[in-house]
Amino acid sequence: MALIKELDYGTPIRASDLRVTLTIDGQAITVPAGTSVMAAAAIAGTQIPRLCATDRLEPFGSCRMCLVEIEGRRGTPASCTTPAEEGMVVRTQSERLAGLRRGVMELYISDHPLDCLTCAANGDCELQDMAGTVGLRAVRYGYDGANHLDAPKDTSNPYFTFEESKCIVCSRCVRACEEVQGTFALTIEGRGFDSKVSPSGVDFFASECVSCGACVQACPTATLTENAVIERGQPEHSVITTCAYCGVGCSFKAEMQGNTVIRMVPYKDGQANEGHSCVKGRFAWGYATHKDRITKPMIRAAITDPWREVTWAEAIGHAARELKRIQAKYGRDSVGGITSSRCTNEETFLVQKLVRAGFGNNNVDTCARVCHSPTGYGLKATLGTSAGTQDFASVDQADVIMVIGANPTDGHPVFASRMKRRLRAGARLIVADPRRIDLVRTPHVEADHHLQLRPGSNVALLNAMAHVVVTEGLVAEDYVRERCEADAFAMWARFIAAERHAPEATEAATGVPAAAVRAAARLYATGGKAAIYYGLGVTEHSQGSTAVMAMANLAMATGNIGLIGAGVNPLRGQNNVQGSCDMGSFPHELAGYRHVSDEGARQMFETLWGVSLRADPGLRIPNMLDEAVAGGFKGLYIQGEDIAQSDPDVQHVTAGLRAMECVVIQDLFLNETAKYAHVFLPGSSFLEKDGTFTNAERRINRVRQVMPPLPGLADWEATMALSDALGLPMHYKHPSEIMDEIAATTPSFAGVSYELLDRRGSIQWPCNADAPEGTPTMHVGRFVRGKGKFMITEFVPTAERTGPRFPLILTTGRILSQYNVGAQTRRTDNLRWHEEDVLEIHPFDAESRGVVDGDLVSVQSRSGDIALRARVSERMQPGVVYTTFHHAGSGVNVVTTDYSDWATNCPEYKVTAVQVRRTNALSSWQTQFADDEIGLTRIARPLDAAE
Amino acid sequence: MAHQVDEKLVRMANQIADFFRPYPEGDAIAGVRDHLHAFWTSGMLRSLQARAVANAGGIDPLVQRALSDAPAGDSPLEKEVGSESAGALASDAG
Repeated sequence: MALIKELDYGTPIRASDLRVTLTIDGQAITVPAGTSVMAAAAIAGTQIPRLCATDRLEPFGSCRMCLVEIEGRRGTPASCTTPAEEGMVVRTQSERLAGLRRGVMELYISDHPLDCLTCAANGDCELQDMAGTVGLRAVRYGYDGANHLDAPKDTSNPYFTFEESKCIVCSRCVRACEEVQGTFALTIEGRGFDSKVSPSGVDFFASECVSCGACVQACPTATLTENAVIERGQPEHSVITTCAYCGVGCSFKAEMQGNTVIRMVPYKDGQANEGHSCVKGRFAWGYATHKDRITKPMIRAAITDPWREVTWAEAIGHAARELKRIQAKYGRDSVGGITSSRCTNEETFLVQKLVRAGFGNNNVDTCARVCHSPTGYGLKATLGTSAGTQDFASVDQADVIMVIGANPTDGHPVFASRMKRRLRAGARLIVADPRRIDLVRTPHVEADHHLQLRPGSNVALLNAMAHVVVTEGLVAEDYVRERCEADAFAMWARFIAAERHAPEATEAATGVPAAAVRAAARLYATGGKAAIYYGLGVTEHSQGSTAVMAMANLAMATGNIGLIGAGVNPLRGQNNVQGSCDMGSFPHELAGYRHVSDEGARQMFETLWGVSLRADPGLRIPNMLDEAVAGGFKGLYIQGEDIAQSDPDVQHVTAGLRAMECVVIQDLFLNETAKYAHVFLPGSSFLEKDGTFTNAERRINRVRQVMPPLPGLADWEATMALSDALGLPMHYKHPSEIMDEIAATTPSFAGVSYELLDRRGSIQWPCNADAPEGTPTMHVGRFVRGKGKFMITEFVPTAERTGPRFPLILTTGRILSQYNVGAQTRRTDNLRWHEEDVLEIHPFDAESRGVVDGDLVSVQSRSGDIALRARVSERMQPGVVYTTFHHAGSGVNVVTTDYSDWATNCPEYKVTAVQVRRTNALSSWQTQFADDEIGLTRIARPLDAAE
Repeated sequence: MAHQVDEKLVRMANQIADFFRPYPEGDAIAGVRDHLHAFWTSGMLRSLQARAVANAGGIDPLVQRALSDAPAGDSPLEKEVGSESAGALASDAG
């Protein structure tokens, strides 16, 4: 293996139907019109010297290194800013050019430290390379004059260092921050000799910088360098793999020294991220080797006992015996399993197989239950498939973008950067969100409409928009006539035209002025191709599934499904939410979304697995916990989930877990759920495993092992061992064989194999005989279900109501630096950006309670109470407060209720009635949490160590 | 404790009824019935039926009828249970 270096064409390759042919150094080359001479030369195999150019950025023409000679033209134009033209004759090398380049380089080096041998970028420095390329041998100017060699070093960012003395002011970092990331945190300060890169007058950590790493990647010198490279040196080989954070599914080069990761560099050829990254994927991977990792199996008889380290065989044997004992005593349905959206498709497939075939029931569920299960239900009902309709690239062609219940700049930052690029290029924006999220107004992007609705009123708002479309004659009638069920449309049109859905009538429920709703609806319907992007702010409601259907109705009515630039697109929270659902993790569905009562599908698996399978649905996670509290559910195998922190009404969750007799946890860390566990199977991080993740655009990406599993067994091997011990032997030798079984049994994966993924880079399902290269856009020409179906979406307010005791609505969410329960990101330097969960509260609500910024406040709901620091913020609307759930000790889900979506039981995290008061003490739950942190997590020291 | 679980089941069933209520009554009843059979365990269904038979109160009339009446209409949603429709969807598996 060696380091993978993508070819850099110097400037972007333009897309054009028009081709031009030119001659470069005597070689004819044909390129798309608009391609620069520099890129044309690169295509022809000639790298023209350059410093300020890279193909991730628009040409800039400042460094004067890439000069060329063009017949018939005076002077020596910069090849990066000169478009290739038909018949052009270019020379990239001549004595004159060599002299000019050497002269320019000499000037650069005259103000640059000559410490190459001890420089962190030694071996990975374009300045060094160019000095060699142009043959610089001496600098005539000396170093005694004014220079920047003593410029200060900025080490404020925990992940990279800014060493100003090594800066050549090429502006690549500034342009990357603008063009790639869209944050505009960097600028060139001063003029002439005083010009310098600056994070706008403060240090990097205090600046607007979001630590995406685009500037570090763009830097051609050692000016911006990863601290890991400074500390450990240059990597020597790399492996392409997939990030294990959000549902964007970015491809990375894991750059290694042996089995040690030096840095994660976004892969330019990654089809989801195209070379971009965020602070989590780029930098927050250190948790994989954190001291808190548990790498040895452990067991204990009672949760109050200390854990005892044992061998894999003993742990697996103990778990199997206990689960068998429980089933013998309490019945076959008394146990179940939970798969994880953080694990691979292959691991997830095995866990559901173990439950269905090994436990003999369908009590398997996944964390998608608490995030995007309404997406599956709503989109399947209307369109016929449980997945988003587009690929990410589709947004490049959207004319109108509607973001509802999502905060992409925090939750899906790499896709948000792509979306912002499109918005800067002129696409119109509608944001529907109770908070003023960053997208509402960010550099060079401003929403045309911010519909700041009250939490819980999504359906009323979407119905009101649809009402405008129908009553103002904005329906795409030809599309609807051709593509959709006529009777269902007619019924829906009558329903939605009723006056109770008019924006004026719904204003009281939504809090959004009718005029704004009407204007937004008109824009959505008439502004060209319109794309909806949504997140958990849509799904995590008592009407989550209804809201998904309402969005599909709106998109179908305006002809916005089945074409590039449009669609209904869920932004999936975790890396493999889509995949875990595809793999049959729900208690009512086998892999490929086939109901367990589907005899054909069931018999196929029965034949393959050699067991009979149940035809009736099993328990969902909340039902499992209800049954446990009631005494009928006693054993649970959880892979990679932390329901004691992430799931709502935590005290009910932990009561359920406490009532169980055997809880088996497979995880990296002793998480909150592990406090109630009896068997701990050490898990592997994404760096330690082979497999696949499926991202929010249905893209199946390879995960490749870059280091051996620290616990000795990979996760899939541990599941196999447990299955063997339960009497269901599995015989896979590699995860690729599991994928082969998935492909053989799951029609939408029929064409998928590791060989295909390695060859193509990734593939979007469905991938089968009808679509051997995958399917970037769904429902082209025909909906998966045949005709699109409009559903009636009556607004039913949640039963969770505010009142005198609980007058505020709490809504919860996520922030950029942290991921979900924080188990990974809290074990990295990302903690510096978010040391605790805080309660955002509007100044009006704060003042009326005597609360000032930083006060400790009690947040009390009907379920429980906690204490958090207050942050007074006008991002909130009066009457609504907001917090995150990234820190276990905050106990935010102590407060959330057990209300849930009518169709899927997805919890209503987004609406909890609360009261907020100043306090001077933590809540009783938080106090108990501190005790349990010690009492329920003890590990017995081995005898020899104790001595 | 079992009582609390049953009450939650009633609440869940009533929410399902709320969704299907705007449809013609026969279709709504079929919708509720199909949904319960597609997504609820047999144990949960039995508990709900026991509450209904006992006239324990609080159960939406639409749910009551879905538990007792033969369907007089078609569910507005694709039928989840049984191989007929699931088989048709299987070709796209999504």
